[in-house]
Amino acid sequence: MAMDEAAELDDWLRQDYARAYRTACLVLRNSADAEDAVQEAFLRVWRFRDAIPDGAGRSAWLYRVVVNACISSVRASTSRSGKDDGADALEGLADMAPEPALRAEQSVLAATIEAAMAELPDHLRIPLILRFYAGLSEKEIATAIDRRPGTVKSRLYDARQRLAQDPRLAAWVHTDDVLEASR
Amino acid sequence: MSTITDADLTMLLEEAASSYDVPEHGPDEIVAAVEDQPVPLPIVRRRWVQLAAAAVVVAGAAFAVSQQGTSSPSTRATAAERSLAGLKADAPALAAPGTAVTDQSSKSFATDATGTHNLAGSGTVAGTASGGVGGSASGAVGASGGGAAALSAPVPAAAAARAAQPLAPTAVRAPAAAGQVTAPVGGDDADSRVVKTGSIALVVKDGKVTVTLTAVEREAKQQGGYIASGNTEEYGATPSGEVTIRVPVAHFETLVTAVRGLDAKVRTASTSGRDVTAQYSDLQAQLRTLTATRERFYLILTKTTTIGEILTVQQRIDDVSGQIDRIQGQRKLLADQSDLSTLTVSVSEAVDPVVKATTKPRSGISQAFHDAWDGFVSGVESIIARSGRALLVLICIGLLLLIARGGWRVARRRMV
Repeated sequence: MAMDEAAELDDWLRQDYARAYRTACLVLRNSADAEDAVQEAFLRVWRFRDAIPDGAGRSAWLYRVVVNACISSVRASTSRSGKDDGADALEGLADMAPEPALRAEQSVLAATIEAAMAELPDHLRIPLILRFYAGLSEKEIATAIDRRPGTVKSRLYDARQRLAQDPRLAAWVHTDDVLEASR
Repeated sequence: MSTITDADLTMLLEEAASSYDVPEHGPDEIVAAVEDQPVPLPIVRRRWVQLAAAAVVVAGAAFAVSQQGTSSPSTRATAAERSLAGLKADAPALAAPGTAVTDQSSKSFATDATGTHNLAGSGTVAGTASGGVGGSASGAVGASGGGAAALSAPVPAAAAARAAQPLAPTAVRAPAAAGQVTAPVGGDDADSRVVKTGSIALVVKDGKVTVTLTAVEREAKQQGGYIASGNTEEYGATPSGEVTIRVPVAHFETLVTAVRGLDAKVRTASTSGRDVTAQYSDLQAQLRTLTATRERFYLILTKTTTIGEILTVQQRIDDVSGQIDRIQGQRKLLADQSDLSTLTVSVSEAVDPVVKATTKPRSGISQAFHDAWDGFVSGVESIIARSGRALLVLICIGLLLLIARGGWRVARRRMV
């Protein structure tokens, strides 16, 4: 690998690895599988970096591959466990509970959010993670999940509404609402 | 209606994501994997080059098919063997010892590399061999194998790094999930929680029930356990007893072994184990979450200014407190069950074997005489049995007659 390519790869990893890894963790809720998925995603994007269409950011494509790698990971694990009955692999994401050791180390707020997020269907959860954690724009999310921007906007709205109605999050984000509702 | 702002969502997701530590070795592994990757072939976009390449592939396939039609079975077998040999040569590169390969085709190669060199079980390879297209087919599979190697190359690196980490808790919990209670789980691992139960039925010699039960109690105390309940029937035709022992889960197997070693025959014995580690962790996590939520509501309570606000927040606190109490109860029950295992020991005396009938079956006449004799005897017995009552009646009648007679004589004298 040439020196300039090595430097480019290094910069790219320093810039995007941590956030991509944690994005995969939020999607998969399993750090080991997330590490594999992100590694595979970086390699794929790096290998085909010249084929990324002009005008599309590398990050958007990276997250698109990360999401696909997460889905592949779930599909592989459900296939290994014999639970793959042909249904959408995304359905398996919600069944993947975080490992007990991780749960023990999580902060209370983080555990609360994870529990609330776990009840969101994946077609709402993934855009939410990409928007508010990965920091992608709606257009970039549309590229990442291969849907139209209007669909992304609609899903983000639905996800936000569902979380707003979750009683577990009320104590953390609705302090004023709790008081206002009683008046 | 309640809403969550963008800032709230960003804060919540940042908090959730921050609980995952980013592996420091992650970027290095990617760099290493990139360096190990073969240089990708440049994509030629010129139309005539692509058409020429397609024509070469088609011509090669047509040639291979024609060769298949003219070659003998032994030739086809040789071609298949050549293709298999090519795949076998690739196998060690794809599945080096100590690495975990997730790709399905690579798994079949790994089996071949370490196993019996029988590739017929692999769907990919079997298809190649039965296709019998010789060199062209082998080349096609080789290409896909190379692709698999390039894509799955990072996976072994990460998997190997994890494989180097201690896996003791997982390895310990796995047998328990399969119901093997003899595995060293439970008290041996602070993270594992296993509920163990068992029962043993002992048969002892006459008069040994109490002695055996006393020995069982002694063994239970030696293992740090206690008698949770017990009942005995020490007299009668079949003396027996049963005790339920609670013993620390780490000493469960030792106690079972000790009880089986008593001077008694084991009629039946059964043990079972249930791994409740995940369930316990879930309850703990829920408890932490709810406790923090309640604390948060207490904080909100300090900001209330009207009765209505206080009542509303207090209601929330009561709801959360109810949930906390319920989960604490479940956790306590689970902790108790997984801290102390339960063993039920029943002891009974050996029952005399049933005496078999040795008399021959009687003929019809003999049976009739036997029945007649039985009837006579039972009739006499019945008369004797009822004679007491008849005698009482006769005595009463005699007394009445005597009284009547005495009365009659007195009356006659007065009349005279």
